[in-house]
Amino acid sequence: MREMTRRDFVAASAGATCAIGAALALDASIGSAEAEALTGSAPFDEKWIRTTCSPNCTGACGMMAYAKDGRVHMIRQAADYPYEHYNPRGCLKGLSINTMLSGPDRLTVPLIKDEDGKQVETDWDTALDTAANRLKEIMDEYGPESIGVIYQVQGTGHIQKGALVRIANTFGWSVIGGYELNGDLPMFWPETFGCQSEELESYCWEDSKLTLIFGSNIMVTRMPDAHFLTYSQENGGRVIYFDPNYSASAERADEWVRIAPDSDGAFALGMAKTIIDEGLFDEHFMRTYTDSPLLINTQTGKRILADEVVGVQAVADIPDYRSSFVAISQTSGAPVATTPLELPDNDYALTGTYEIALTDGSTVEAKPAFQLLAEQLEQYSPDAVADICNVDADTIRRIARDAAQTKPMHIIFGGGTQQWYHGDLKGRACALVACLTGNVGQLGGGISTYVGQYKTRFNTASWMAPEGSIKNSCPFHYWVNGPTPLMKAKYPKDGFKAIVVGWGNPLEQHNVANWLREHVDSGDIELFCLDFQQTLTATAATVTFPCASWYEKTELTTTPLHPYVQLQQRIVDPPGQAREEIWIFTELANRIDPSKETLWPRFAPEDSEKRADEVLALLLEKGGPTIDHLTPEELRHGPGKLAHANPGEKRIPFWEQINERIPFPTVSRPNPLDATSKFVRSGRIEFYRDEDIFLELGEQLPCYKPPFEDTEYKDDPDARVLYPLGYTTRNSAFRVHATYVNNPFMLELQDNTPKVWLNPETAAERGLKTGDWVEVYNSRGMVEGQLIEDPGVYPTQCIFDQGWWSAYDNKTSYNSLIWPWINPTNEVYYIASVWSPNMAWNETACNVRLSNGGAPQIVRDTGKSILDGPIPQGSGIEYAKGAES
Amino acid sequence: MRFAMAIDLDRCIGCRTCAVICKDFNAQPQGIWWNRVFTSGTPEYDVAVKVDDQLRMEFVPISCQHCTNAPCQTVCPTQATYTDPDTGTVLVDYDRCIGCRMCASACPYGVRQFNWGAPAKMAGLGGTELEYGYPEPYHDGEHLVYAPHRPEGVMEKCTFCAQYTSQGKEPVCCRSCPGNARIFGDMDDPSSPIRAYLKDKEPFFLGEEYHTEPNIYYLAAHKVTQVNQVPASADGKEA
Repeated sequence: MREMTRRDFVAASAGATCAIGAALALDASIGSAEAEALTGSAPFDEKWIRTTCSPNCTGACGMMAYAKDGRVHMIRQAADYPYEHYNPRGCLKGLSINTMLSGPDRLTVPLIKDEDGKQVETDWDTALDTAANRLKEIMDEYGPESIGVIYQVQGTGHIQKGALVRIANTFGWSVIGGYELNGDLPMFWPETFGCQSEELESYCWEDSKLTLIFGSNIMVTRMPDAHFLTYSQENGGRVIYFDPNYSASAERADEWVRIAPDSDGAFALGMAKTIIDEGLFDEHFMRTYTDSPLLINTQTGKRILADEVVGVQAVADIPDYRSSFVAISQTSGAPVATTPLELPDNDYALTGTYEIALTDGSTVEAKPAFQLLAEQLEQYSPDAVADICNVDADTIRRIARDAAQTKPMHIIFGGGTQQWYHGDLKGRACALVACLTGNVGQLGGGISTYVGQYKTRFNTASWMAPEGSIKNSCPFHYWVNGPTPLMKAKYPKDGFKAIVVGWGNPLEQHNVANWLREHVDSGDIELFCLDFQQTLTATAATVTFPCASWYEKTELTTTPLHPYVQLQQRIVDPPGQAREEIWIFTELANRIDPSKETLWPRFAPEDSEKRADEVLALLLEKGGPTIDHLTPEELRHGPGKLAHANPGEKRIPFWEQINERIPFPTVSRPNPLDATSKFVRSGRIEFYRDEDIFLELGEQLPCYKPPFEDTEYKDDPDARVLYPLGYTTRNSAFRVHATYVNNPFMLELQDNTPKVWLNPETAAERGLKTGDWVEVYNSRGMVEGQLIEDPGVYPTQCIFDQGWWSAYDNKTSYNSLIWPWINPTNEVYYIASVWSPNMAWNETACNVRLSNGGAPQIVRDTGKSILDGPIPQGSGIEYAKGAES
Repeated sequence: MRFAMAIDLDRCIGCRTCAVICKDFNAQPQGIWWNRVFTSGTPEYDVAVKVDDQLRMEFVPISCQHCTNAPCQTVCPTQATYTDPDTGTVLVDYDRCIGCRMCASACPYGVRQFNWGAPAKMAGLGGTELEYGYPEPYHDGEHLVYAPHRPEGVMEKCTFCAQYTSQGKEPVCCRSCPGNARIFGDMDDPSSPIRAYLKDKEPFFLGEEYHTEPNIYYLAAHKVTQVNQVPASADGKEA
């Protein structure tokens, strides 16, 4: 039994009005599976049951729901995490999804398009056969890889969402990595550490003494975790927040640094320069764990291999994906081979210039990577970067010293900083600071990114990769841009013909949303959709399957933010004809190809729970050492904790590398370690990259490159003048992407109105003022909104809260302005969601003007009851039926 | 007992989870919010406000202050508004309320919420009415202080979740605050969590000049260092 918490306030002070208090005060601590009666005084038959709220966010929050008459009436946080500070976990959105589960936008009947292309209701057999026949035709004509699959993100559901991955792998459809599609893939991770990413789970934040946050609005986008920063402050730690715009996270920080947009990398390089110049860096860390001592041929820019050097022999028996490089032993002064198989203490030189005799008879000049880094940093003195960052040099020096001398120091590298064309360069610069200060591998230290619930935390192949799997994948970037010269992904020979999308809304949420809409309207691309809400995508699909929400099925979830494995559980039945996805995909697979029944044993829809249970047991049993100690029974009761290698309660990223001297990288599931190890061939953290394109672009070392020069301005030189503002589509407190937009409580909190934020000066320059209905536009598209003057917005920025369905915004789309630029360094390798072109949402220039039209009816009706005229799309606002206005 | 709530503004992240769960659990109709989170100095959300040359976004959650000297109670002509003698909670008896709105005028905090006519029904699945919140009425003795379907033309406000606190549970805003910024308890009980939380701290009250003696204790937020403001009209840089 858990100790009494303050939530049980009356138990400790039983008084006059709480005669039954003592018996009921265990509220929060009752085992979650033992369903709890609502109250003692109101003897309801129905029960509170635990599930996990897991839309496409990183929360994975344990919830308890109370159902009556087959409908969820109330939701509260389960607050049953063994680590008390994780309680209560859950935000305003998930706690009010009951308004949507049985709301007017709920999908309850399968839909198909009739001969006129009009969507009509149908029965399951017709829907499934229609989808199966059409998909089969497309596969036969264009190949299975012409069908793209969007399965949202794996961590949010391994069984039901996993079934979509399984069917994709069964037939060889092209999985579109959601991680890169959403701009969540921090490319500096594979470029520097060789892995998809690593991060501190949020309960480690309270162990940090200094937290530097670059462009991550934690207080809004990581609500259930945000308090760990507060606890860090209450423990004597400090938080410094870097962002061009003021935000809730700036408000909660100890210091806000108003950095110029996209200049975080320059700031970090200025810090690195200071830390090195003032001798504050951790030399042992750099020498032992990074590529700092490896010799670079200064003529070619390439790393020198041990086998190329006279008198040096490469370390023996190394796998293909490893290389033995060369460093200078300070003891002997001679070049020696470095081992990629372990990370031993060593006496390698970090600085100097050396003449190296090669086996081809030549002698070349070589310098350790650290020497080149130091030389590179000459151009990034605090005084030099002050102008780029619009921050005075003394501040940069002060924060650099602070970061070097305060331990543990943790850098949170946010989506706001990452999702630029040169986001990887900024990440490499910030990673450099984390390494120079020796914080990587320490509890409460290092660098983390928290964009997306991407992380695969156990082995999932037993379910997602069936026997005979055909694994295809191709980023959405190439759908739009077409194949590129450096592309490593597999592009379908006839292009893409269809999208099978689960739990996603690409017609609203993809970049160039209008491009996709046009291709769907013209019939170039067909949609097959699974959802539980009537999104634009659901209403445009050839076939739409109504599926179960996370209160209506069994599903297995994990997140990078906490160590708990949790279940979604069936609290109520799916409404109407809505069904679990596992049944839908089983039927679809069998109807496409009856010979697949061995992989997809059929079952009746009412046995979906039983089938999900079997898959759950399989996933746990075959999931490997992080999860195989957990049982379905345990998880039915509440959260189970993933296992980790280091001693102590909290997992420490790279602990094995730093303490057991196991080479980098860590594994990026579901890929085997061998597949990603080539990203860091030295087995070390690599700040120097010598692939040709990095050399060609001058990006072999972390550097600063300004925004828009390689994208918008290169594409259209006039954009510099026409679109002088940077366009940021930030995440809102009231939505998870486009989910919850039709939650009536969320709408009310926002006056039902999409808004555009500008600095008052920027607005004045355009003759605009608060309340004006404006257009944000560029050459590609336009979105409307009501203007808000906000002195917290940087003068060259325009902000729109992403996620608004276009039905609420005169059919305009905020994503219509955004182009999927492809950075060629992201094409050096291709492994879906690990090394791939990544979406740079913020690399978008725009301008703002007064709208010729005006606020849509839906906005003008704000605060009034809507009695007449159904709003066909996004009708959540229509909840005031029957009111007297 | 004297129920009270501490709100630690240094922990408040302005997320409005308290407001939303309050609305949901207490079946508040459209437009009714017992509990609101304001940003001081602006009617908007997510907007910074210049305070003494610094930018701020000071979140202030406001609900009924459960005043010991409650002006709303004094002016109520029907004694619909009363103070529960056992807990000090200020409650409204829906059966007695005649909708005169004197209390709303008297309340210096603007937290009273009025149902003009019949409360709006929320549209649910397939033309049904969406039901949410605590499903049964709750009586404090003879007084009807909570009803999932509001009577026409009554005033409503925070009850400290009377239907829950009477059963030994915290008000839902306190249970649900992701930042643990809201601490509930009994000020008469030295071992109560609120007493422990407030120990050695310096709480303040809203509108102390009104002498209402509120039972909501606020704790101030820290200041944010901002050394590199963008000077007004001095920024000509491109993004």
